[in-house]
Amino acid sequence: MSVSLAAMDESTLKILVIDDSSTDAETLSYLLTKRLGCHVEAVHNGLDGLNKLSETAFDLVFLDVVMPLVDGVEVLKEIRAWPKTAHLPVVIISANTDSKTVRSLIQLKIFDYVIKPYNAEKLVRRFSAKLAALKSRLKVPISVRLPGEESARKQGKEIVLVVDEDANFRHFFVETLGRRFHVLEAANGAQGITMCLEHTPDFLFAGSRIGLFGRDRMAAKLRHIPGLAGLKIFAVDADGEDNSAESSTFDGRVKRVFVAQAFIESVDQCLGGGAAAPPKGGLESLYQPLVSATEQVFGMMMSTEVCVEQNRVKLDPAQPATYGAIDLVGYEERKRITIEFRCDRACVVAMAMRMLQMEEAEAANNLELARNSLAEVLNIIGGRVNNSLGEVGQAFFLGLPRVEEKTAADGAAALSKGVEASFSAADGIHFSVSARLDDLSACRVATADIREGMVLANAVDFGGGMKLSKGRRLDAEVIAEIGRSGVGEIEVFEFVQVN
Amino acid sequence: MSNGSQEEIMAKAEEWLGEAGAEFLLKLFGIYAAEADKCVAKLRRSFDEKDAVGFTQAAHTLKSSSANVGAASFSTLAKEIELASRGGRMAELAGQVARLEEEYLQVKIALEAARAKYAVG
Repeated sequence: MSVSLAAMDESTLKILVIDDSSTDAETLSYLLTKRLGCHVEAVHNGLDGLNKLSETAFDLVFLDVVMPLVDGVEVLKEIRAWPKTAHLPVVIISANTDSKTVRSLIQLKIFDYVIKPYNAEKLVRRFSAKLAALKSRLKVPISVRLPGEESARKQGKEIVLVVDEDANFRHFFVETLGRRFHVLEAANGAQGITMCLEHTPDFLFAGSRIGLFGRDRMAAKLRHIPGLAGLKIFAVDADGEDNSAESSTFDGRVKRVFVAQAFIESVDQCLGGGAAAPPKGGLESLYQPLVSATEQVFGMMMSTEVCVEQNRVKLDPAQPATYGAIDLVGYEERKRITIEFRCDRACVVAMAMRMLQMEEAEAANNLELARNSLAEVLNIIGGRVNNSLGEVGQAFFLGLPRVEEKTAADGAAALSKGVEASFSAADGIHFSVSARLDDLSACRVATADIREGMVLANAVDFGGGMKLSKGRRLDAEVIAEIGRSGVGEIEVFEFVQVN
Repeated sequence: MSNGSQEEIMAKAEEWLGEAGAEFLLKLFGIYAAEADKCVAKLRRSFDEKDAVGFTQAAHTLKSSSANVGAASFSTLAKEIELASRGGRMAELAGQVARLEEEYLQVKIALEAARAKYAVG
């Protein structure tokens, strides 16, 4: 089925809906087309969806989870495994999704989620802004000064133009370098030249396939424009890619890889350290992954729309409240990030009713079960944030989640400075999530007190050929070896039990 | 199915009528009727053949698609069946399946009434 009531032009988002329910696909296609101005095609099973994606380039996919034969998780795995679609934004359509499925979906990176059955007005409201933002990133209009550019320069952010006909590569570029640079996009050489004239970027990264006005011609033309003397132009090529780029035309080459850290390293090499280092555990860089992970994980687990909101959650000091936390431990960085959750008891009951399909009285009498569910959710959120850190080359270990009830007065001690966001959902659910960054300290421990899971803060040479490197996690075998070595004590990091 | 639920389907029909016009409304209700026929038959067949996967999928599809045409109580019943089946209690659902089949007949009557009322031309 193809619905395209909206006038189709270059700026129209092309969306593929994969849903085995024809009724749901029809209503969603209608809303996306008529109310949100997209071009929509719909298929009714996962295999047809994958076939369609192999034939046609889409900007976004709406993907149902529960489908016969090939379910949504399997489809998403295939999408992520195929280079052409590896970074294609995918919106999950779900209902009563279990934690195992949510964990898989979050690991496979999703753009957003829709809860079935959906309310048409809410869906339109939720996606009008999100699709507009996506459109502005994917369908770059020429001859338009993009908002934020002047303020970016004032903030000292350099302006980068990426020219590539592959919208997925541009999307990846923005996702990977968008926090560090103000990134503009062009789909072909002609657009690239126009944007350089209008925005005078500091750096230009050009793929080998840029359609109209090829790369070499574009670069040569730009070299002769007096106002662009300071522009540095880099070629972006895949390994082994046969390209005819003349080295004298370019200031360097960047490897075209879809692995964030490898790509950042390649860009850094080209820039020769002239640009700011990537964020290293900075709290600000955690805000967006924390917010989107919280919205998506809680939303799918509770089958409701969870949104970040302006009003801070206030807890009654006299009433018991629920506090949760999970640590991310960076031994190399010597840092610990703690993600904290808090809400009042009524909220936990409301969450349990949704997550565990319980009646209110049953949920209120089974707070332990509710807390276990919260711990599970925190674990998935921690995993998602950890993945984000991994993408910028920071190796953190995920700790075990802790959830407990205490009075707000006691809990206040746990409140900390850091990035914080409050969220709301249906049924009066209001909670907040924050992240703080602490130094990870080390301490000396007598060998008799060493426990499994502890991590060495320094390399240790026990003699006799036995050496243990910094960051080594101690297991029973190693502890026995240390015991036999006769060493009195060793230095370990502050103990955090990790998964 | 109560009159209240029939009213819900009519109310939803009017909502779609205002939103998208009679042509889309009739198309949507036609798509739903064809899909729900198959799903209700699949639910019965899967139950008789003790095929828990097919049974759960049929209930799942009925749950969300029915909500789109305003069959709220029918959707809720399908949801209860889906949840019970996911919880491994399919064998205990004979009464629920029969009830769903009865409710579906009422849903079809309401759909037909809506389609007759808003038939183009």
